[in-house]
Amino acid sequence: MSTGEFPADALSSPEWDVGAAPSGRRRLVSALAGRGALVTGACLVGAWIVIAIFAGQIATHDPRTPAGPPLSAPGSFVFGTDTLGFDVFSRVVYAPRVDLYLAAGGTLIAVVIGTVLGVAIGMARGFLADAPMRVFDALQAFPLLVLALALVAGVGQNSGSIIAAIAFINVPIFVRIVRSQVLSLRERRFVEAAVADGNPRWRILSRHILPNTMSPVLAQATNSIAFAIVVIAALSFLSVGLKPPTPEWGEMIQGGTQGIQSGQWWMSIFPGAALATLVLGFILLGEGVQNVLKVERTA
Amino acid sequence: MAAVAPSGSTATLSIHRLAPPWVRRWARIIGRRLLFFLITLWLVLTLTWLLTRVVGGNPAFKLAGPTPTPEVVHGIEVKLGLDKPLFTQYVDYLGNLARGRLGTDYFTSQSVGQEVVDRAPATLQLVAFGGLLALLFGLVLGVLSALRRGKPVDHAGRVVSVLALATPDFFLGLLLAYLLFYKLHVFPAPIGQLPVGTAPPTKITSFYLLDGILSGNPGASWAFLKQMFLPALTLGLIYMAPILRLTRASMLDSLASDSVLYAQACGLRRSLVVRYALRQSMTLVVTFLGILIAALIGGDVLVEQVYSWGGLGQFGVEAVVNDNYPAIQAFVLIVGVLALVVYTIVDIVYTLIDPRVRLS
Repeated sequence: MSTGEFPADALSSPEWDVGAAPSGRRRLVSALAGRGALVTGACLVGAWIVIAIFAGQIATHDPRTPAGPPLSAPGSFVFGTDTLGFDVFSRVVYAPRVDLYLAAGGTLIAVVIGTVLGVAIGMARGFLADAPMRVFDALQAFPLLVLALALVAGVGQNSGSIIAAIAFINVPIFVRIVRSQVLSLRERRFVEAAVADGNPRWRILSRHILPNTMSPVLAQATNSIAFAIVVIAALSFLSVGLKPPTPEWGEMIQGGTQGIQSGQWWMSIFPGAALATLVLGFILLGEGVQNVLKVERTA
Repeated sequence: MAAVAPSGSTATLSIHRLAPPWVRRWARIIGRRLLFFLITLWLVLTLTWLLTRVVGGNPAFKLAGPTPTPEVVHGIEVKLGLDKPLFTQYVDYLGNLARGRLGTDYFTSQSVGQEVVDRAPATLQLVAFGGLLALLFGLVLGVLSALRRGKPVDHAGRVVSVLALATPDFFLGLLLAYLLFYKLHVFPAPIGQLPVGTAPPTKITSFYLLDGILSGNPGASWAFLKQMFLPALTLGLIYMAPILRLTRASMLDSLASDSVLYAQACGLRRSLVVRYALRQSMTLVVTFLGILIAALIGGDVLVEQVYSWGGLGQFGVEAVVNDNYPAIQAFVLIVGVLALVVYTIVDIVYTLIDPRVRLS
């Protein structure tokens, strides 16, 4: 029942489509379209995790020692060599270990801290419910990259400070998400019923409220990991991340910057493409998770 | 004319009564905004101050040069006032700030206020142009996606937007520089705001784009525009993605709204109906664009680095890496102030687009 040629699709949502069930093929397409992001994302991320784990077997040379003549184009060395003679392919293959570990670690810590704080602030009333959010507002007013930069540059260029920096910039996001979920959940009937039944506070929190806050957190977590990977690469790009010769995509891209101007593309393009595909994988994973859970994401 | 205000509002200025209603309303709105902004700014500056002192390294160490013996380092600390207790330093800082004295750069000994003001126009022009490109690409593709939902254009748009979202900005910058400069020679080398050998135009507004034209030197403006195009394109391509999604979602909502249904029922032609639907969906996009530009003012660091743009972003990064405390504070201050200006402009544009909006 479409009411005219314009814009038929906007009006063909279920409430207008009385009676006609979508055909089998259409259902398959829409099911796949919904899952497409999830599948593609999971494949990309899965592929990179496998590469990271089996980097030792996949790489052709040791990523921390020069392997051949510097600045040679891809040929005998799969991805060529960089300005110091390191094999680009081996370094590209070893790098995700660092990125995945730091990004996932930092995000996990942020999720834990953010959830605890979010529940605490969400359940609080009065001054304690608003004031901390102003502090988080102020914190989020910073350009995030500069904040991470400040933390790492100040504390020291090692894995610990990078994980701490990533956790630090992500905590406000998770606090916000969890807090808004808690705020809406605590007024719900089933919570009221649980209270009326005489459940102790801790039980209500852990059994009733907490599990229901997890879906938006999960969707945001994949996004946060994606963003964290970019931040780690950006820090290395600015020479503030992990020190060489630890292989890291951002640092490799930075090393190849000069080369780009004279046509030596392989030093930057390969790590950059690798970075883009891994980040893409996490973003698609996040979208897929969201589609499946049908959850509203808080930006 | 000093007329006494009616007894209901003893705190109002006497002239207040004589100002037309719209001036009064805007004064109230801006006044409240300013108050809120000042509190947030104070909070941000204090947090920065604390963070750099507590977490940061010791700038005296970096300034001590090749022989950082404890005596030399301590001497520098005394000179910079870093040996005083934290609370005293903080009070001194606030006092100076209130008097408009932002401090001197530890490394260049110039006024940091001057330094940030010098670099702001470069970043502003880049971010404005980049935001405009993002708006252009995002709007066009978003509207097309919404109008032809489910068709190839829609899917292509979604694919492009996810790709753009996933690509890190510094990588895209390098990629564009490689393709469009090295390979195709369409744009000049990524070496900064002006090509080698071109002198900056005489300083009228300190915005190179305008100064060139205003001082009768359009060649300089054109050269600047060419240098600016690649970094702006980088920013535009990346931030086109969220604008595309937002426009598409917003447009789909507005196409399904009652007002569009009514317009159709009235028999208006298609292009007109689309225009009305678009107008309805613009408020969300404008808000987002404002947030985006404000965020980019401090956040375009990487693109500035790749193209040696010499704006606020690069300045902030260098200040942070060098523990240049006054520079860091000045950077945060100017980013905050510029962000407020952008948000206010967005709100004004809001009321122009949608007359139903009443800013409370």
